[in-house]
Amino acid sequence: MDGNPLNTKLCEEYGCEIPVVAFAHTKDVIAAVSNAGGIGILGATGLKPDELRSDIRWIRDKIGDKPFGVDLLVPASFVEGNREDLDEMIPDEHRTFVQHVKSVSGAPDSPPPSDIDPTYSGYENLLERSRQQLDVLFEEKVPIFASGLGSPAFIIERAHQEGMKVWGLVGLPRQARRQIEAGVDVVVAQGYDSGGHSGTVGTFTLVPEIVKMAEGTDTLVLAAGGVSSGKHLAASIAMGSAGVWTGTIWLATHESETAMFLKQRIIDSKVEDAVQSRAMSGKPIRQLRSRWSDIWKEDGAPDTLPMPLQGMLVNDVLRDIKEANLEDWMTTPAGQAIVGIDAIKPAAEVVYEMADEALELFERATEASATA
Amino acid sequence: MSEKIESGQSEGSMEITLDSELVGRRVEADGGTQVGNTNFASRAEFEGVLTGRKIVQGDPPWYWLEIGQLSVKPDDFEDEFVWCEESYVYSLD
Repeated sequence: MDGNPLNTKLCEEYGCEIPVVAFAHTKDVIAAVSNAGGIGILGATGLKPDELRSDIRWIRDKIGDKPFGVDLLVPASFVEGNREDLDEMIPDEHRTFVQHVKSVSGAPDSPPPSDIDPTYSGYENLLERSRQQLDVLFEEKVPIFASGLGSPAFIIERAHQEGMKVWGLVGLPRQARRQIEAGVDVVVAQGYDSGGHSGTVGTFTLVPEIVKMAEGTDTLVLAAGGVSSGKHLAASIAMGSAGVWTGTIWLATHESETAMFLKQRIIDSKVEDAVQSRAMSGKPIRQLRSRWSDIWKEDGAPDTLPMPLQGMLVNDVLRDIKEANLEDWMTTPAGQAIVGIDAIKPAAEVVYEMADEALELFERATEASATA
Repeated sequence: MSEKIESGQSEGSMEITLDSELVGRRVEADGGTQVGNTNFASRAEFEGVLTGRKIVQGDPPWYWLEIGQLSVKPDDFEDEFVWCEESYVYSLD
């Protein structure tokens, strides 16, 4: 560090100017953040290899040699199963309730999707699909591969040979220990406040423990979960992290492809509106509250089914809702950081505001200690 | 001792072996996976006994261990077996 508290090891090692990492599914957000001095990480799990390659090249065209990365949801576990057998396990009560939901929502039947790819199902394909995506990252020499769920340990050596950095998102200290031992370059400590598949440990508890674990190693730690401002950035650096990993705050930026009505709902939301609901998949996913998440909590609603049954049960009606653009019933993954979003802004402005606020806080703290 | 028992679909890139030295070991594991073809994922914790079945997929090799007799699993998990990535499997013996 050169006296600037924001010039952390992340900046030294990756060539960014501000230790703010932005996870988003919109490539325009990634380019804007990297160009503003942060690091954009593209959430690319849903992309097929040719789509992923195209997005990587687009980003590189916009940002030159500035740092960026790609996040993939590498699996950590799976079960073998037969869809026909599973279908018989869905109770009639649940089918009746979903028909009731469809009726209440007013969603008309939509045509079945035309782009279902049979090679994108089954557990052999799950692993093979991850491999194909990783191969694209190697071929394109993406600077950073971030593993959003499973351990990236098996791929670290090859990635390093290709000149790539490997990051891993963890929700528990023991996962961090395994990743540090395996030699990941960055561990992202993801607390309970996060959107999507949040961990069970709070950010303020998780980060210092993992920072301590990484002491004496080459692994850097980023704080994630509930980060929306310069206050969080400053606090994270004070806890020993090399920066912050953020996701929710980019949903309402100009560049984000999030629907405008969802951006407005995020701005209008209270922290309690980032709810954990099992109603989409059977697994708890932190998301923006909607009529969909509410109706599954009403009296008379059945308990949600385990994954993958819940998804099989509700996929059609969720598609009908989306096709009909029923705004009150639609949602997006979002963390408790929604409370810090008060306007739709350019992504670069969000980066600069976080940096300015954090610097101001550090200066204030320095002045206070000098006069104490 | 490991014995190859079957091959996966993907042109020899995956095989399932039986490792007798693993059979019966008590383990816990941090699992989780992508939800369908969405951008969502889930985390899940398991505790049980290794069956000895092991998947080796691709190059560099990606190792997966099968766990049965699940004594700890998500409340809504109804399967009797789960495959977990080796890095997140922790011995309890």
